[in-house]
Amino acid sequence: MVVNPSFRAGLRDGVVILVAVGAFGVAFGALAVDAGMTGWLAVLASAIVVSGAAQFAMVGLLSSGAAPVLIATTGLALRHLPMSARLAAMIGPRSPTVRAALAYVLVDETFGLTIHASRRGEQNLVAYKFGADVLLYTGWVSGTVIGVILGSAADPESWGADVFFPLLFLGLAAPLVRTRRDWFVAGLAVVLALGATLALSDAWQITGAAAGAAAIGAGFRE
Amino acid sequence: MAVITYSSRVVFLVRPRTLPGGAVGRFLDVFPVALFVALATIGLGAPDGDPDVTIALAAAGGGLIGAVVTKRSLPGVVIFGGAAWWLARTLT
Repeated sequence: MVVNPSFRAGLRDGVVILVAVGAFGVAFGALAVDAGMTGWLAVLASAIVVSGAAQFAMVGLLSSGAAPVLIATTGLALRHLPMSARLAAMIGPRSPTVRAALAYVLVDETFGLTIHASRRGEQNLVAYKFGADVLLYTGWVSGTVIGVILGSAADPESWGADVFFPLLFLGLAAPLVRTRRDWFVAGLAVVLALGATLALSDAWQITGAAAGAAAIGAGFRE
Repeated sequence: MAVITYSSRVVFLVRPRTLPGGAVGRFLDVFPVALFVALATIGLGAPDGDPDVTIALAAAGGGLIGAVVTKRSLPGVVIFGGAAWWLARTLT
């Protein structure tokens, strides 16, 4: 069987993400069960929501009722709007089915890899993203299953899983910072993110800091 | 949750689009940098809900050194940052 070279490249680049997302999935599964969620529901959430941040927020707010969970989800989901607009411009004309499938796993990690692939001139960005998405989805759902089975015996934080994830984002940002405007936006994002941790609730920190830095940075003249 | 999340992901993917010009285009152009730096900052600032500035700074510093040494490769940042985190945690 001949595998599309771009799909293969997505698989190759996604290996780093598989490890981080798998560990994060274990943490989510263990935390969800510990918070009183049934195992099958935790796995189902990972399979259909595919959003680590939203799912962790959900577990944290389980006892608060539906409204806080939905507000938190909205705050976290708003960052997907510019991501989907950017991805739509990168992939060009594609069938509605392909677009719907790409949206299903439009997550920070594989979005970042796809931006990099676009910049280096990857031939088929859709195949590339599908390759990375397959690994991410597999890692996230299977990690959740393992976390559900292990329960509190799983302790990914003890071996640095919680630090591995932000380092992954640092690694995704590093190649994108090239121009003076990029540096300005990166510096601003650090300041706004630190400010957001003091001023905003958890669910709005990422979207608030990223949108604020990008909006101000958009006015920066090279 | 699934409906809100998926709706936010698919809304601009429904139709073929080109990158708009002007301020919106510049916003979309720099948004990935802002997003990933914000995610890294918030994650390293309070990785487990118990902020430890020394270890977080060590991990971030290691990651930045990794970015320079390995010409900004993703595995390079993660490996150097992880090594710095491990070292800082062992020493503190």
